[in-house]
Amino acid sequence: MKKKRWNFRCGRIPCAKQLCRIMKLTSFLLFVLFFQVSAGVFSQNNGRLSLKAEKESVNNILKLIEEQTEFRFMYNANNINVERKIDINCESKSITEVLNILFKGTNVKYRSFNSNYVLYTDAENAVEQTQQQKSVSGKVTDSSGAPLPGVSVVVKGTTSGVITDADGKFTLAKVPENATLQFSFVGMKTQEVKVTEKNNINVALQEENVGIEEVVAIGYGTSIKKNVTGNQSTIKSEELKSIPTSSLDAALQGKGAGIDITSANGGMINGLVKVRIRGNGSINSGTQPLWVVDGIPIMSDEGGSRAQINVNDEALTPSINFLSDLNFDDVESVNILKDAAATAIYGSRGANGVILVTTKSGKQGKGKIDFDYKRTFSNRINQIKLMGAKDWIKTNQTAWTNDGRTGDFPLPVQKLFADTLANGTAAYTRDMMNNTDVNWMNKMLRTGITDEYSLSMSNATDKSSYFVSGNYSNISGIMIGQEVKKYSIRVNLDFKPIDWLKVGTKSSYACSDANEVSTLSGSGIRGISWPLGAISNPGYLNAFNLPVYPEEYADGSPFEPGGLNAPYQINDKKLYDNTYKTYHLVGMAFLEFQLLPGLTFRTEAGLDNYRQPYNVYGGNQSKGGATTYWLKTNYVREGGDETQKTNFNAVLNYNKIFKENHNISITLGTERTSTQYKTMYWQNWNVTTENHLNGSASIDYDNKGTATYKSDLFDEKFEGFFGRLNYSFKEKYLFGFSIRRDGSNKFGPDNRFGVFPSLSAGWIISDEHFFKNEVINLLKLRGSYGQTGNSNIQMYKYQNVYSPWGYYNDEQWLMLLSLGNKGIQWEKSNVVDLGLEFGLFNNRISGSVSYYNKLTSNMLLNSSPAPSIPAGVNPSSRSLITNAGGIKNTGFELTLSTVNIVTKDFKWTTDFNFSTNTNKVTSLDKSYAGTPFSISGDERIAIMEGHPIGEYVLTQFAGYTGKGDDQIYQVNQDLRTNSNQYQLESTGNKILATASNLANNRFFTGKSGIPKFFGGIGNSFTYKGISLDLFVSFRGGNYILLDGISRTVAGEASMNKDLINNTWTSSNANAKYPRLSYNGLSAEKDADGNAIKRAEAEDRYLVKGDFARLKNVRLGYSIPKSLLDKAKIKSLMIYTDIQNLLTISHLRYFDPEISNSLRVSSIGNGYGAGSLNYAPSLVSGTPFPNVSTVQFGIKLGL
Amino acid sequence: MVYNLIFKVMMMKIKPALYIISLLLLGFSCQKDDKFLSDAVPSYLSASEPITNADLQSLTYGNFFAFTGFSQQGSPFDGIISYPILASGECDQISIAANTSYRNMDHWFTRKNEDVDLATKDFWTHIYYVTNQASLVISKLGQFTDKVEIEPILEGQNRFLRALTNYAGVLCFGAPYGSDNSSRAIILYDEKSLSTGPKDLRSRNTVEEVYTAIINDLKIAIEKLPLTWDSAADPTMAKYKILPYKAAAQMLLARVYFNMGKEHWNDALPLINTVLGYSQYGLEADPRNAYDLPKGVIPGKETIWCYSNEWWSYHDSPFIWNLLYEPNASVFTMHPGFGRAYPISQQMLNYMGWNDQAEASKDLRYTRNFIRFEAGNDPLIAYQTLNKAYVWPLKYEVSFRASLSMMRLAEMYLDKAIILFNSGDKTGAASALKVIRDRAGLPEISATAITEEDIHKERAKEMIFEGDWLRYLQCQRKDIPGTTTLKWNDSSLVLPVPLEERTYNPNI
Repeated sequence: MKKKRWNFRCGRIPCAKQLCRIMKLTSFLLFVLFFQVSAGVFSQNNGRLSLKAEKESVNNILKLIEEQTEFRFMYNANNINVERKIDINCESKSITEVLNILFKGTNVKYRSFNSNYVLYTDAENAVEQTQQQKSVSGKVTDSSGAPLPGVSVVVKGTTSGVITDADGKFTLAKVPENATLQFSFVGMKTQEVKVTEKNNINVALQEENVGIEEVVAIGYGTSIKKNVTGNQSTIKSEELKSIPTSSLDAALQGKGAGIDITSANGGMINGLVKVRIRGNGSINSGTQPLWVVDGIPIMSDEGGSRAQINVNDEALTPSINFLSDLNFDDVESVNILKDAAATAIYGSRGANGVILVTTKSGKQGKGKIDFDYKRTFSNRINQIKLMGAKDWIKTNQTAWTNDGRTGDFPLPVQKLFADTLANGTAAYTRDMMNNTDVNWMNKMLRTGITDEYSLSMSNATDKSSYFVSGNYSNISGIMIGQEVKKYSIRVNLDFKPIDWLKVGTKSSYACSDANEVSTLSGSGIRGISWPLGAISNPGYLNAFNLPVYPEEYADGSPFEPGGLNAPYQINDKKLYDNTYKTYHLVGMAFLEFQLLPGLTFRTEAGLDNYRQPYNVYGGNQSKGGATTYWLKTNYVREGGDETQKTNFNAVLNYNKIFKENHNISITLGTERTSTQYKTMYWQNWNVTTENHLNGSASIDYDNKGTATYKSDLFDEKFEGFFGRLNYSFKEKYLFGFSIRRDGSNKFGPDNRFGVFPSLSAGWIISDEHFFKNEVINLLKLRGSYGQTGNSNIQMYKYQNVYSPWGYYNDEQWLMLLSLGNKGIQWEKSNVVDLGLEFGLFNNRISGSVSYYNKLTSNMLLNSSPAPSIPAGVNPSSRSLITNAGGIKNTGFELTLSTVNIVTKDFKWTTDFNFSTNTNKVTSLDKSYAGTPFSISGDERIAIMEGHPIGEYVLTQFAGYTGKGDDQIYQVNQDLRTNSNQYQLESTGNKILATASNLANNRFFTGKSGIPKFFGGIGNSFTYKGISLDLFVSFRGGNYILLDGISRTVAGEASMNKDLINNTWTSSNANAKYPRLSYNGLSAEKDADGNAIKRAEAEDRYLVKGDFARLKNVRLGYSIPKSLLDKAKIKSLMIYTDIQNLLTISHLRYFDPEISNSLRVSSIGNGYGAGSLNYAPSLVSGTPFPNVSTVQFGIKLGL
Repeated sequence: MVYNLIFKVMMMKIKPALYIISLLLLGFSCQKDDKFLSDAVPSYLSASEPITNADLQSLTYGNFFAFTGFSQQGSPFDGIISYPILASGECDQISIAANTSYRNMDHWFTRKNEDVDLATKDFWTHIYYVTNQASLVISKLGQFTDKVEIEPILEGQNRFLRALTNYAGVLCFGAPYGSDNSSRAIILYDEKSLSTGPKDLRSRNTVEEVYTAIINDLKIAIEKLPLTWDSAADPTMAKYKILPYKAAAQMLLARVYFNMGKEHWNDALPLINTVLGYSQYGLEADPRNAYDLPKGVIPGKETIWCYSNEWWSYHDSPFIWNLLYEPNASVFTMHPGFGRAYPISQQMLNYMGWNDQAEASKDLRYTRNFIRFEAGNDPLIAYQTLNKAYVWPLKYEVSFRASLSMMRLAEMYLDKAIILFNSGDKTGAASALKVIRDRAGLPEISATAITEEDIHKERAKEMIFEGDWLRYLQCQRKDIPGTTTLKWNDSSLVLPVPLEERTYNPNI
């Protein structure tokens, strides 16, 4: 109805709808502006002011100028009558002209220090003059010892004062002997020093890190922290320092309450990092937060939708953590928005939280040049311990004999290879086996070394500022063959070409040149999914890690049975070359207009362009000339990805204080985001140098079916309109409302848009008169309710997609790839957040406590329609996205910062955060009823109503049979069949653990892979120039299923050193592991007399995932100023930083943070990428190890 | 001063202008919502229904690909082929190699394990994908103006495919024909009854309705399909017989009539004679070549219709092939879970007479297509603990890219033999059987000596591991041997509708 009315009014005007919308907005803005009160000030920031007020007190006018400009006034109200009411109406006057008008006809005079004005009367001056006694000079620095120019130094209670010069020095004449000097500077804590007999006073100001007056980034704007009603954590650049991780997300681990961060890939270069804010909110949709760098929503680690199409090519295009291209040293602050009040303005993409990263800008004062060099050594930690050759042989022989066989167990190089062995290479003999002992892990892994150089320069004037930086890293990974060179530059500029216009850019460009180790067919250790050295499948490459395989034969020729290369050979670039380059541009440009006093219009255009060309050349020759089996011929694959995200937003901001106590802030805006993804490759075998060089290799019809091409393209779009209203009364009662209407082309035309509102309120109790007390200086209660959305699913799910599927010669076939569900809509999260913020003893103790309840509904769930519905061609990934089911996440968060000890030379501070999370599936699509693992696809991992995501459903160990095979408890089969609920009671019967018994006797363990609590504790100590930071992160309540370990005893006799002396024998009946068996055969026989294949009771391999880790130890020493001054160096610091020095966990074999999955993506694509939403802790195979690093660095400031 | 003046003038003029420009910019970005968001579907995705006959042709090829299986584990051949083989006692359940990963094949024997459901679901699902897409193509024929000359052949191909799929479905999910023809079998999709989306939940059609639909489709397909490959009109791939010719539709219809029971054998016989009369088809001289040729690409003259791995080039042979037909150790078969799992059952060996090695070695089919490992001599370590000798099929073991013959002329001779014998024409029966025995290197059985059992045994030896035995016994209302003997129409031989379908579809 409404729409029609507008059309009618607009008649035939072209673009009527747009105009109508504009008119609506205009009307709204005019409505807002009519509320403009009698005073307004418009600063053009070059000192020219426009001011209009009627019958307003001088006091209020000065306040107004202070609020909306950079000018500050100091005066003694007893001597100057500031309650005097005046009329003023001036346009574009300088501050001195304005002051002349304000104090015309009085005896008030002023002195200025940059933007600070001291107002005084002649009488005051006279008094000062009579009291003058001595002159005091000194130097003001920041906590690191760098000089602070522009600090206001005032004799307390007077107007006498100066501003420090570019070197931070000051001289104040005529200071009364018993006076107190007050040192103040924006962003620093004000410090008072008594003047005694000293003539020289040096002061180091402390940063106001947790200051309640601190300005923090919020969505599409900034706010005073005290006035924020949403729940957010702020992490300043100082806290990140030089944490030796490869990406910003990894560096945030343990830094903020409610944010659970895991480096899922351990020591991988650019390894992916899993970030979960307030738990897993979805089963199939993405659960990574939205990262916004300088206003641009960037591609997050897994590449978001990039992963959705490219998933099958995982092995050849390494997953890149996009955040690894962001130089830490460039980051000013990171704000993590958690509740709906904070994130609803990001609407559709806010459900998983939003992380705002602000990079540095130049600051006024003397120019700064910083140089940082660091060298980092990495070594693997917490890796499974492996047997040497003797133990391995003994273990296998025992296993062979245990199976009732006589003689020697077969040589690990099987009959299969005998043919090839005969064909050119020497045979593998038992003697050779008995006389070889090689530690292949040591052959493949090494100490990784990274050199990193950073240089930055910055400065600012009142009309412009710049921050320019460059970074170069040369990384050698811990696996031989991993070599990466990275380069990045950043240019952050802003100008005010004219008074009412500010323009600027924040842009970075990073590129890298990398050689990746082979990942084909699970070679090397990166892709191993089988237990190390599993003997019954020696055809797998990992078998070539067996200690009994020599590097070479006696004659010096390489050991390559069956043409297989040993892993270290695969990493030989001459034999296998897998290189890729990355080019990553993240750029933003903005225009900001000052339209009216308090009213700004800002528009930003952002571009995030990522390209990754790669090529893989596999020779058909191994080191010894044998033809490798998986590369039957030589192989070429060339291709690349390109992802381009463009973002445009336009935002009107209006701030106004009226009638002194009413503060209103309005934001209105619109945003469009478009992400295009393209990928293309071709690959071919049988490529000769000749035909490759002349290009003919790209078409290979003669050798049908070997040439493959692949290309993909999609364009994901978002469009949003948003508004926010914040109102505060007396700066004590705070209210907030925000709303966003978001559209996405992931949904059909009828469901494209969703509306996401939020409401919040706060009460600063400590500002009430009745509450004033000496102990509690801040007590703020806040609460919010809001709705956010999630649309992180694959593209084109609402429409039928027919796709060319293949071709033969020039004949192509089309297939219905997936059936669309036209009805899908936004996944929604309703979030309630309650919090209490506090500051005690002049903020010596500060922190907050929060409770959240996040209820995801309308979940975008991969559900299978009835099988008779022709939904897609592949039964294993045949699914429709539907809105079904819900998840509830609740938890508490505590942050605490304390200044424990502070003396002149020594300071000790502590930061602590602790979060809990309880996760429960509240409802599910009915097609999942009774099949707890139908979503996870793994019978051991349940997703079921009333249970946490990923609860383990396992069989229970019931001791060994008399012959050393695992037994499990049988469950009540009738109950299982009838209820189909898996809420099973044990019958107490013990049965042999076989595959089919396992399938029928699992029960809910009440344990899941999702942590129930996590947090971090950091302690900083400074003594003169020495600083020591210790940071511990911890996590717990989750369980890890050691899938790989269980399989090492299920017949795949392995190299796991823990098997030694720990397997069942008649004299060791309570051993940790069952009887060794070469083929995993039970001692029991079936009716035909054949051996029964056994399995392993599963709950034995479930271990607690709790860990505490000394994540960081950093020791720094700042060379004293006195030594540096002569060399004209501002600061010089040397430091060392050790990461992952100590880990306390229940895991004997692996690192508690890693899992064997390469991806942390949560796109529900059926290929396992989404599985980490619910299976974060399944360790099978031999995952890439985590690392401990030692870093040495030097930081120079000029 | 001058600057101030200019600035003042500018501000007077510019401020309202700025105000308007800002609002315009804001308004501009709020332009018509749908355009920006609907622009995004890339042209390579045909997100709409087909709009040309060329699209229909591509969809037809795609649908043949879908029929032959998207993935190894999900292949409908698992259901179509393995179920009849395993259920009728043709093979022995050793499966040590197979039962540790991927899929526990025990379910085919016990049919109690929930894995049965997992496997039948794949098969059930595929039936509807294929029949719905075939129906979509048929429904669109005659609507477009391009390539009108291919419309008849497209109709023939799609009707053949739909009939083939429905037939596989009714064999497994329906009662045998003649048992209870009013019982429910599978859902029929046809050109007038296409799926309309996730909410379109239907009830099953009866056995009678399904057979009627199959026969109707095949009659039209016979009419529309060409006799041979026409290089001018047909795509290259058609010569690989992955797309059906007239003979394929005729043979399939003959098979359908034959399996409907003796009452329908008279309908089958003319079709069998027609197929046997085509000059382009004939038995291969070497029984080995009946299955895969040395190159394994272009099938031989014995093949009427086949599954061509080479042609699809996307994947290797169906999973069941790995389980059944890979007796030799290789890189992959060393791995538990891959490789052969099922030898010929002891019962079948005794029936065929192949437990007698002297007897068996006279038969070229045995010597060329099977391999025997004595107890303890199996090259696969996993089978070294077996305490008996087993005979393993290697009908298709040469090449992963072999063309797998799904319809073979030999079956027509065996059909003819039993039909003629049944009608009292022993001479005709002996003559048809002679063709098969000649090729196997066995002496002729004279018209006077021939017995019904001779024809059955010959069929067992010729067709074993081709999914024939169960339906052959059923069409003659004979008991089904196995671990326990079952009546021909025992309800346990009918696969249950998958649990997920029953859960989700109240109309089933």
